[in-house]
Amino acid sequence: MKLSRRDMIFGGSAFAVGGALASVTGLSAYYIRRQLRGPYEGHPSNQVRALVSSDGWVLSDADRTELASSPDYSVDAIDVTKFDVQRDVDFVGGDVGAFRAAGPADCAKACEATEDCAQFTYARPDHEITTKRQMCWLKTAEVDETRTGERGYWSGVKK
Amino acid sequence: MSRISDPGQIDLTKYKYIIVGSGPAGGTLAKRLTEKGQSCLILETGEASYNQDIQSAYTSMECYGHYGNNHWARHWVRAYGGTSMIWGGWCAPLDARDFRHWPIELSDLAAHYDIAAEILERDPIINTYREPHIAGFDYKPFSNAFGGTNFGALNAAFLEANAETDVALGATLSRMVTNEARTRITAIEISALNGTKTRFTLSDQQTLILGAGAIGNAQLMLTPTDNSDVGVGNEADMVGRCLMEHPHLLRVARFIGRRGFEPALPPDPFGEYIPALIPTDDIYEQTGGLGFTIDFTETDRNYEDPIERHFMSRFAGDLAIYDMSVRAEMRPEHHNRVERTYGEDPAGLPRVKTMCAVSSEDLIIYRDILETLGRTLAETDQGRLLISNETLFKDITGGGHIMGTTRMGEDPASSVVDANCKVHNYANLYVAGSSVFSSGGASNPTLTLVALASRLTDHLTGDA
Repeated sequence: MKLSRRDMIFGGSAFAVGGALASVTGLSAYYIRRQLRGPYEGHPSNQVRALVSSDGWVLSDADRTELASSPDYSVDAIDVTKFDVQRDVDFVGGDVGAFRAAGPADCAKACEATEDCAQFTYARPDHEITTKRQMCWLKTAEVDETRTGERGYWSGVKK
Repeated sequence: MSRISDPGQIDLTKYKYIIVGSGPAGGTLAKRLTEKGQSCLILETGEASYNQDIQSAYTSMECYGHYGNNHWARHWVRAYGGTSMIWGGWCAPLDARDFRHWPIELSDLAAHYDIAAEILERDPIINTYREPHIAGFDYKPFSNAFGGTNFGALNAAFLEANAETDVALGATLSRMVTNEARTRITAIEISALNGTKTRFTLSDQQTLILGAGAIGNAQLMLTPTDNSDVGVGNEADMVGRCLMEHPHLLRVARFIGRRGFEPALPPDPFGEYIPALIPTDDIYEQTGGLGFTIDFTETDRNYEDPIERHFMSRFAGDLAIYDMSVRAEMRPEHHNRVERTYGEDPAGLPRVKTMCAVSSEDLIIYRDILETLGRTLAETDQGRLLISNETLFKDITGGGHIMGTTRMGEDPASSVVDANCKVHNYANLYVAGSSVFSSGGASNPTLTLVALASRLTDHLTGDA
């Protein structure tokens, strides 16, 4: 059968439109699903979480103060061969994981174990907002903002 | 005693008591009734030794909830000796507070707990030993004699010597017939392994006692009678309800602390034991009134956890690390039940299905008690506790303890048997076993059900 030029243009356009629609539908579904599920569910960092969280320990206030000043909880515990440590720096946005870590070294280890994680920010155990203390945020290379002079945070960039 | 292998050969008129089941309940009844000169016939579906074909055919069921995957069928043994064939031998009595939802009290059972301890070859000290240990928790170890008591063996030795009591093996009670008013069992049907059925009339002098396990007793009482779809004793739709296990949360917590947390050894006649703590009556009340036991076994250090490392150095020189396991009580709930489902077993009894889900309120109570223990340990600097949320909420197992399906109570609208284990409104039908438990407590059921069977014999013979 011989196709006229009009047939070809018509068929080709239909093909292109159909393809575009399929892509838009597919991508929308993916992002909507991701929104609904949240960025952290099912993410590998949540498996790492089970190893490093301090949740579950029944501790006294004195314990928490002591732990905060133990060497395990100081910035020096972060492995400098693997991370470029940045004190007083807060990376905002770009989160691929968020959980409470026992110490900054554990936050660093979680980032190391997570492929998507290029850098992390850890809220110090003496952060002025108690609910933020020991929170560990794993982040992509691209973040919304880098804030310096933020005394409550330590960050690390994967080498 | 003779062992009857063909139900057709039974002369039922010879026996005053017809006991269904040869496990710890039926076995205790037969033993004590015989000791008092009463004639008994035990009906046992199974044979002298465990037979997998019989087991599979007669315990085919569906199990749902936290106890799925054929959980109950594994603990419903159809062989001479019943579930005692696989019993691990653990014994502990219920505490006085465990009877608050029962129509009887601990004092009604105390003498029988001593008889039960003797039958189960333990020293009666296991019935009363409970010592304060730390703030909020008492020490109440369980007795754990290696291997348990097989009631088939127990009965054989004792009953061989006795001419008045017989055992019919391969004999399944397959139907109960009542009078029109549903106040007496007037006849029973016994099914042989090959399906042949024989009917026997019951005289005014004869009594039927069901000791077929909590699933078996429910199944028998859910079975339609000749002229009604409503099972015997099920007039209030309570048979099978309030099915309970003992939630086991193995290695739910970790203790890091000082040696000396573990209690002293119990007195010598205790024998083998599992060290266990229970909440004091105060903590029990404050946390919601659910039974709870926690035991501990030494375990290895975990160097991966920086908090554990911190406490390892704090308690260095005196360090003890334990895995702690909880065995607790779940509340009785109407929707946890045994019900009929499609199909029949080879005797024509209805197949059953179960739903048994542990309430989230119960799990939260266990967590509260664990946190209370953790706080006591931190305050006294005896150690620290790490509670595993995942184990507590997602890793619930059981002890193979089946309870509550024909519960004891004063009100026929909310129970199946009365304080004497007699089925409400029936003159000659009784139930024995853990199916009569009004609530589960946190003690392995065997010792208690043997004590209840001993008490029932006194009631039947007028010695109560």
